[in-house]
Amino acid sequence: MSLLSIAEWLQNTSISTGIRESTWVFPIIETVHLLALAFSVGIIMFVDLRLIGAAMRDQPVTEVFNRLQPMALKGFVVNVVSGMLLFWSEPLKCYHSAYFLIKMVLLLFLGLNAVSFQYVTYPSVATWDKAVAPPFGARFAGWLSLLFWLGVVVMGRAIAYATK
Amino acid sequence: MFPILFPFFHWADASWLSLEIRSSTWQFAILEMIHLVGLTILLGTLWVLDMRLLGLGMRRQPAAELARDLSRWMWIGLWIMLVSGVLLFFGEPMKLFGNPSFHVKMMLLVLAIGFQLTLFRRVVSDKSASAFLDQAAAGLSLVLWFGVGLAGRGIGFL
Repeated sequence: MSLLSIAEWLQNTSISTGIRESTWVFPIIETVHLLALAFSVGIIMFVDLRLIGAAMRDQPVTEVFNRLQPMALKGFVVNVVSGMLLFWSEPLKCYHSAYFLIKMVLLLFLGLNAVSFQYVTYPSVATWDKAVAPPFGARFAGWLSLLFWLGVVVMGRAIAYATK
Repeated sequence: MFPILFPFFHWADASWLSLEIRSSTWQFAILEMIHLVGLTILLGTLWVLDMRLLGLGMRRQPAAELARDLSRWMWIGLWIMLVSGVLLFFGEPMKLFGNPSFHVKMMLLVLAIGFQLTLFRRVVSDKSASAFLDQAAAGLSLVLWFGVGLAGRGIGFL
């Protein structure tokens, strides 16, 4: 089964048609997706800004990370669920959209970046917890996350402009 | 909604800037992306600060200190939103004139900015403010700004 045939099958499910053709369901899901974006990406942005030494510099990295990361993850769950529903409502449009593909690839890299930060860089945090500018690995993870999330937001908006 | 404002919208619609922005699809699209990035920065900052006032997250740091740390980012986000927002307005003034969601958004925006710069600021910087006052300020801030976001998204659907 090819990706295209999966997309076609999804597009023809009743949930897909229901969301796509309703007046209010699609706008409501999209609004939730948008406001959850401010919550998840807006909050993770501050963890990143702390990592590159640009915000909350007098706070220990662990304090910023422990307080903000769980909140950002909760917001991200809302983003994923609402995003899947949006995808479900127009899988064929997404299949043909280069912006959608780029967005997914960026999200994949963001996931890898987060995992590698968590397991490679973060374990040594005790030695740089109070540093204004954390070591290169942490700053790199912060910059990468900031840039890729920016890309995700921009690509996400661009999907809506893709011709069908 | 406000017929008295018609001349202003009409003037904006015929302006050079409006023609320039409407001359291709991408100018408007790019402005919208910038607007969205500004929204993430502004609302993200407010989330972090309001969560602190509500007693969730960043509890070790006093709210006043956190507010000082964050204020630069709030201003960056707000300015990105205002500049890109004004340009977006020039991209479709006549559509917005007839769009109730836009008018609601503008009223909420004035309220939100006014509240943030006066009462909210005072409550946050007052260390003796009660927990209730902190929470009320945070709650109102979230309601107003999310109202702005909601009405903003509504513009595109109405």
